[in-house]
Amino acid sequence: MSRDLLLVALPYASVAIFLAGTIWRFRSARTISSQSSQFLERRWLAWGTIPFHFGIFVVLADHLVPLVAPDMWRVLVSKPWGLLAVESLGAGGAMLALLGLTILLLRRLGTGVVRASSSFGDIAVVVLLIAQAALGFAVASLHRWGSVWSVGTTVPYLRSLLAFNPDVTYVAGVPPLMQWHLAGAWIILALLPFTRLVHMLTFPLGYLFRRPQKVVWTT
Amino acid sequence: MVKLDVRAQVSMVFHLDKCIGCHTCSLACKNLWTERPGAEYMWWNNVETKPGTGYPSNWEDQDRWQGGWSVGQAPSPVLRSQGKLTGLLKLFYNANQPGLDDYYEPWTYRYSDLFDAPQGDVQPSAAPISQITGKPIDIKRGPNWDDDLGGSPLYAENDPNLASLTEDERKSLFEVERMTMMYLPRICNHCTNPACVAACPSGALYKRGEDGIVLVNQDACRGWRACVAACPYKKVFYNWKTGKSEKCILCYPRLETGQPPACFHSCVGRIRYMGVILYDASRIAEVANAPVEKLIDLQRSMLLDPNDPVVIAAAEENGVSAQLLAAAKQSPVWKFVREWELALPLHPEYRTLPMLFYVPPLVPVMGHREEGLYTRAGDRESIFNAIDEARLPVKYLASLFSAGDPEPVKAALRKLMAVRWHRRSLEFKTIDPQQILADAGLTVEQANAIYRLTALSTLEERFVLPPLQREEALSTFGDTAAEDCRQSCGLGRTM
Ligand code: HEM
Ligand code: SF4
Repeated sequence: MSRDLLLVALPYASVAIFLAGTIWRFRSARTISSQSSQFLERRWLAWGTIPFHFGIFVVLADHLVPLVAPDMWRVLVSKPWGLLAVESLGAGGAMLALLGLTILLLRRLGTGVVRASSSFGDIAVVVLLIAQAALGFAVASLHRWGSVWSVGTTVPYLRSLLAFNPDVTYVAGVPPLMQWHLAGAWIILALLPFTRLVHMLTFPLGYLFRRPQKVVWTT
Repeated sequence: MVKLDVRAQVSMVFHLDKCIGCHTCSLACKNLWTERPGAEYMWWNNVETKPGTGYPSNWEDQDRWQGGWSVGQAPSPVLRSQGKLTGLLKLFYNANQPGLDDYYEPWTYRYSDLFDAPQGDVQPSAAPISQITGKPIDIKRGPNWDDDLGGSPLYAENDPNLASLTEDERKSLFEVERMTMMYLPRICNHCTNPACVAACPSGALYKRGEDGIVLVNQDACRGWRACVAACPYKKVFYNWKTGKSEKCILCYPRLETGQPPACFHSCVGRIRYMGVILYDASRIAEVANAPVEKLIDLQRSMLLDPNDPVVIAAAEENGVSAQLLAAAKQSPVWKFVREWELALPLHPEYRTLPMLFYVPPLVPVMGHREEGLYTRAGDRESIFNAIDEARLPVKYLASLFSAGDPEPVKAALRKLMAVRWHRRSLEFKTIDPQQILADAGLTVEQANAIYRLTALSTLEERFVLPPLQREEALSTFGDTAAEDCRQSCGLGRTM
C-alpha cells in the first residue's frame, strides 16, 4: 500500500502538480526569470554554474535516452564500449554537476550579497539537487552497471507510468536508495514551477529563428 | 529609386556647451523611476565628467564588453557580443557582463543611529549600510566618484578616448594649469539599430513603431542579460531583485500626455532638446554596416526632410500621424542635426545608430599659449586656430562624437564660434562678422536662429512634441511578442 503510494500516487500527483503549477506560473510571466546573481558575484559563479549546467545536461540525457528509446539503449549497453561510454559519461556528468552544485551552495551561503538576495527557494533547490545527485551517484557506484539493470526495471516501470498502466512489479526489487532517488525526482518535478527551476522551461530556442530587430506597433 | 520606408522617432539633442554638470536630470530620473529595491544602483540618466571612465566604469572599453556591432558580410552588421548559437551558449554564463564592482554597491545610512545614540561627548553619526545586505559597509566607490576629475589618476587617465592622443597631449591634459573637463550626460539613445534588441534571446526588447522608444517587456524578460552585454552604452541594467533587465523608458507615460521626460523637463542648463525625426528604415542595415569614415554622413542622410513632399507622402502612407508630421517640421533636432550639422551621435562607431545627438562643447576658452594670458583673438585666423589649440583637443572630442574624424567636430565648433562672434559684433562694431560666418559656413539668418534656439528658447521651442496618443491604442501593454514590421525590419535576415 505505502509502496503504491510512493511508486504510483506520488508520480501522478507530481506530474499533475507540475502541469497545473506551470500553467499557473505562466499565467503571469512577470516573475519568471533565471534569477541570475552574476551581477552580484561572478568568479565563483563561473566555477559553479558552468560545470553544473554542463554536467546536469549530460546526466539528464543519460536518463532520458533509455526512456525514449529503450531498444536502442539495450543494444548500446550490450557492447562493452557502449556500456563504458554511457557509464563514464554519466559518472563524469554527475561529478561535474555535484562539484558545481557544491560550489554554488557554498557561494550562495558564503557571499554576503548573494546570501542576502537569496530566497528560501533559491537555497532549497540547490540543496535538493545536491541530495538528488548524491543519491543517484550512490546508486550508480554501490549498485554497479545501472545502465544495464535499469533496462529491465526502472525503464519499463516509468514507461508503464507514461502509458497510464502502472506496473510496480518491475521495481519491486530495486535497491532502497534507488527508490529514494525516484521519489526525489518526483518531489523536484512538483516543486519546479514554484521555484527558480522554472527557468529551464523558457529556453529561448526561438532566438535562432527570429529577425535581429523587433519593431512593434500598437496603433 | 528604392521606396522610402518612413518611420517617426522621438529623438534628442544635448547641447554640451550648456551643460553645467549639476546632475539635476539624474536625480529627477532616480526619484521617478529607480528608487526601488534592486534598482538602487541604476542611473538611467547619468552625467559623466570627461575625461573619465564613466558609469559603469570603463563602459567605452568594447574590447572588454564586446558591445555594439561590427561590420558584417553585406548587407548587415553583426553583433559583437554574440552570434545566434553563441548567444544560446552564453545563456549559462556570460563573461562580458559588468558586475557590482563595475558599478558600486548601493548604500544608505542608518539614520536611526542619530536618534538612538546615548548621550556622549561626541556627535553621533549615521553608519553607512549596504542596500543589498542591510549590513554596515566600507564604501569604496559610488556613482560619480570621479565627478569633476575627482581621483583623476584612477579614473580620468583610464578614459579609453585618450588613446587617440599622443603622450604629450595626454600629459598636458592633466597639468594643473591646463586641466580641463567637460560633462557628458547620458541616457539610452533609443537607437535605430539597437544592439540590446538584437541580442535578447527571449525577444523581450522591442522598439515602438510609432515613436521609436526602446523598451523591455518585463513579462517576456527572463533575465539572461544578453542586452546588458550587447548595449555598447551600458544603458540596460539588471535588477538583482526582480531578476529582470530594465532601461530608460524615455518617460513614455509623460510623453503620451504631452510632457517632456523628467530629465529633459528638469534640466537646469536647458541643454536638452526633443523633437520628431523622420527616417528611412529601409536603410538601417546599409548605414549600420558602412565603412567607419562614412558613418556620420550616412546616418545624417538617413534622416528625412520633413518638408519634402515625397517624404510626407511616404510618411502618410506608412501611417505616421498628422500631428507627428507637423511636429517633425518644427523639430529642433532636425535643425541641430541636419540643417546646421551641429549635433553628432555619441560613438557612431558602435553602429547602433543612436537617436540622441550631442552638440560638442566649445569650453573652455582657448588661450593657454601665452602662459596663462589670453591672447586677444581678433582676426579670424586665430579664431579658428583656437579650436585646434583648445585645451580639450579636437581629437579627443572626435573620439567621442565622430569615430575619430576631426572634421565633423571642427565644423560644428567653427559654427559655434562664429555664432559667438556674430553676437559680439552686434555690440562691438569693430568686428566684422561676415567673413567669420562665411568661413564657418553659416548665413546671418542661421546664426540668429542658432543663437535663439541655443540661448533664448522657451520650453515649447525646446520640446516640440504632440501628445503621442498611444493611450488611445487598444492596449498599451498589448502583445509585444507579435511583431509587425510594416515594411522593413531594419536587419531583415534571421541569421
Ligand atoms: C534549459 C536550459 C537552461 C538554461 C539556459 C539555464 C540558465 C541558467 C542561468 C542563466 C542561471 C543563472 C546563473 C546566474 O546566477 O547567473 C541558472 C541558474 C540555475 N540553474 Fe539553470 N539553466 C538551464 C537548465 C537548468 C536545469 C536543467 C537545471 C536543473 C535541473 C538548472 C538548475 C539551475 C539552478 C539550481 C540554478 C541556480 C544556481 C545558483 O544557485 O546560483 N538549470 N540557470
Ligand atoms: S543605447 Fe538604448 S537602444 Fe541603444 S543599444 Fe543601448 S539600451 Fe539599446
